Amino acid sequence: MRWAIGLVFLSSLVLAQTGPRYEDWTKYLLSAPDYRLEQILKGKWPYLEVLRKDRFRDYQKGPCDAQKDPQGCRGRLPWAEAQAHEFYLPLSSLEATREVARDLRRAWQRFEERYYWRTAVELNNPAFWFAYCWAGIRGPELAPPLPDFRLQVPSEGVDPAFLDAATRQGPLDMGRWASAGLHSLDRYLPVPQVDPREFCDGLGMQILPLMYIPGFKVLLQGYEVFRTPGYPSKPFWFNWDEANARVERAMRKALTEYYLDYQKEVARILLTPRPSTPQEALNLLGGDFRSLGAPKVYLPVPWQGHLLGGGSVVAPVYTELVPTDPTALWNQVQSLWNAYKGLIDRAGSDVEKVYLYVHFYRAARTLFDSKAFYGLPGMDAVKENLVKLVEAPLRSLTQSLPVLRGCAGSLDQVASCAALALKKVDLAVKGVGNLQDLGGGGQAEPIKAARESPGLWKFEEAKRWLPPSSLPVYEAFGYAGFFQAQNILEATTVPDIRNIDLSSVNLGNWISWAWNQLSRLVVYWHVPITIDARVEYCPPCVIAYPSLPLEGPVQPLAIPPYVLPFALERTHWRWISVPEGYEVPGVRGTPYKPLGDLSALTSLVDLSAFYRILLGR
Amino acid sequence: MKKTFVVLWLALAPALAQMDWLAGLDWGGISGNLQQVGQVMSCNPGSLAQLDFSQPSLVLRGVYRVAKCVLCLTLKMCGLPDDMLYPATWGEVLQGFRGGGDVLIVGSGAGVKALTDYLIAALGGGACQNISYGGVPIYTCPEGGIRVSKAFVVTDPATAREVKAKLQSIRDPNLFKVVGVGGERDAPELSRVLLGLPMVYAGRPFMFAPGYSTPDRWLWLTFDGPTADKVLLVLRLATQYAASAAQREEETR
Repeated sequence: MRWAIGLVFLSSLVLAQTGPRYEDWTKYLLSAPDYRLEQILKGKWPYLEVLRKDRFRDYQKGPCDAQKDPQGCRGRLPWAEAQAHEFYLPLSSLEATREVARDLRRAWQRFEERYYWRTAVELNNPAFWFAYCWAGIRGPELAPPLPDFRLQVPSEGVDPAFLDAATRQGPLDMGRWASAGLHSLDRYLPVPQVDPREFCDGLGMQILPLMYIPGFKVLLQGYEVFRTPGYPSKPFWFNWDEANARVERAMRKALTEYYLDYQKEVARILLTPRPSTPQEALNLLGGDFRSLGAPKVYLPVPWQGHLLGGGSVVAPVYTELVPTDPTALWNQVQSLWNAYKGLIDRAGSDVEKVYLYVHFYRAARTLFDSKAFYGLPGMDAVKENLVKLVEAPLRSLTQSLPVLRGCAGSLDQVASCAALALKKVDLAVKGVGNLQDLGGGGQAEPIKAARESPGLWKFEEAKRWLPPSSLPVYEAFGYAGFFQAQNILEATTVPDIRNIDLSSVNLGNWISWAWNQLSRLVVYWHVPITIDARVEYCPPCVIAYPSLPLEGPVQPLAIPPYVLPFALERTHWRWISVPEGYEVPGVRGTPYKPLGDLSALTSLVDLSAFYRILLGR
Repeated sequence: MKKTFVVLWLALAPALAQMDWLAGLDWGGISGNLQQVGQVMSCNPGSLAQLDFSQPSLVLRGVYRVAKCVLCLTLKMCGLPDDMLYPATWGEVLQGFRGGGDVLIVGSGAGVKALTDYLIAALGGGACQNISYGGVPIYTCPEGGIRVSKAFVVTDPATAREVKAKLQSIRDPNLFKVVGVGGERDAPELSRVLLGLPMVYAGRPFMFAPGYSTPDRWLWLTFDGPTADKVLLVLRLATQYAASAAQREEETR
């Protein structure tokens, strides 16, 4: 008995060193996705369930009344809190979240334009005031394209053991925030792309005080005899105090009023469901699986809200509710296979690489047997494709490992046999049995982690790389895609000097980047003049006249701060995938609990009530 | 009508004005133009290919220098100042820390960590010799200590957690407010790209590019007077936002 305890102790030591380290402070888990496919047909919106683990644990311990039993309740959450451990998140469409991302981008662009043009116009009053405020010269409307979907794998969500294993052969692409580098205009034009009223408010023509005395040069009979110092770049005299005061005034206005408008706009975009009533959303649901389609709906959940230090606004996403095209479905399953195989090939041991075929086969078969596809023509071909994809490689691979060599019979029998073999290897890693004899010598980590990680942890972790998909795919493969938005405080400039794509540094990149930066410098435009004096036959007389600004036309004089600084919050967004039973990264606190100061920014819709009608619970 | 008039005038003005400048180019012989290209090369555009993006303030500085030089040579726009960022002394920074106002630190990475270490130790009453950065101990604790009404640190969650753990040693728990950006867990991708230029605000904005061993030998860069005044506008506002973010973090359970 003693040796057995020793063995367990020893093996737990081994586990602690090499296995996954799912930490105890993981709080928010994606619980069983419950799409209730039949319920959708009855007009109920699909949703996901998430679990707050610390509350769930206390809930499992049973009720506890702190007033009656203060001793027994010590260190436990209040019972009401423990009871509120499950939250329902309605699903949104990927397309709708892309539209939300586009609107967030446009809100930023609007702020960026207002910030710059307010400063430029106020500084260059009256010339710019005439051109932009009075005459209303302006460019096209801001119309950012729909931002591309980009998957990010937040490294804080992935267990370090998986990352270690997957990066042994080389670095792994984890993606970036989908919004990284997108806080910029699509085109930096020398004219504003917002309505003049957006930045001309409260501005009038201002001729006095005098801003400058132009720099000049004097020509006598075509020969230069004098030029003011710094001509043509510098005026003869410049009213620096007034210029600084004007810039400061404009910046203050932009950073307080216009920035607040940006914040309000973002809050409105993020927290308003689309469409605006539950009934409109429900009307988009069809009566049978074939007509469900991909209703464009955005149903956000403020997980404490998006503000800095708060949390996130979260919306699980689907690409379509139920696929109806077997060919498209098969293509998608293949892309899942490629993503999955790429990861397990990197992170898995020999046995795990073989077992991937079984694991994938079982999930895909569950998918194809889903009720949603009953009677769909073409599904038989898809099922055959699956067998073709898996069977031959699996059978040949089983011959390479001693522990799998006995696996024969039908595909299902091979699959069950491989699952048993996997269990044997796992036990051997944990100290029960001889690993070498089983041919699993390369197996360093346990296949089934000790705790906090349902399923086979490597196969689950790899799901963070799977793209968003439809409800039956989520259900069969056990994961879900999420859209998340939150504010990040960044100290940078406007336009952001970091907005250069370093993945391919080339001349084109640099030129467009340099133009973006230069076109938004804070400058005062002044006009140097030339005084040309010459004796003309008019009859003979001396004429001295200022000619058009020569030698460089209007000249820019850079005014501090030269480039507009920005060190405030702005909203970023991303798309992530979360395996079932694993952590939802990037969130804090409790869903459906927007922090108090959000209501100062926008009139909050009571989302709990809204979704109660949608979900029917 | 007025619109057409203004548009026409604006459209023509640069064209007319460029005449003399265009005429000044050596259109006949290619040699003169090549000479101008050669002049651009004297601005060292090659330095743009060697920028170290882990040192954002140096990137800003390097790019500015090249852009200014090219503008002046090609378009005769020489009205930009020589530099946008000027070296600052540690003494100036210390002066900010003694002013008794709010301090805001935005950024992430080893530099920000060492700086907060320094502040924690100095606010805790000396013992700065125990901190080291890159293996070199820091000795520059001011004799009278430093006076700060509140210090806000906005950083990535991993650094935030570390700093919060160190704050246990400080007597006044409300002196330091740490705001972790992102969720509850470490998010290294936030620390690298998103937080931007490292900034320290204590009455005057300083950017710094850590790369030397101790705060008194870090490369501190600051803006010239009029620029600093305007950057202060943003940083004062940012401090308010950091303060409400810190409060929010406490509210979030």
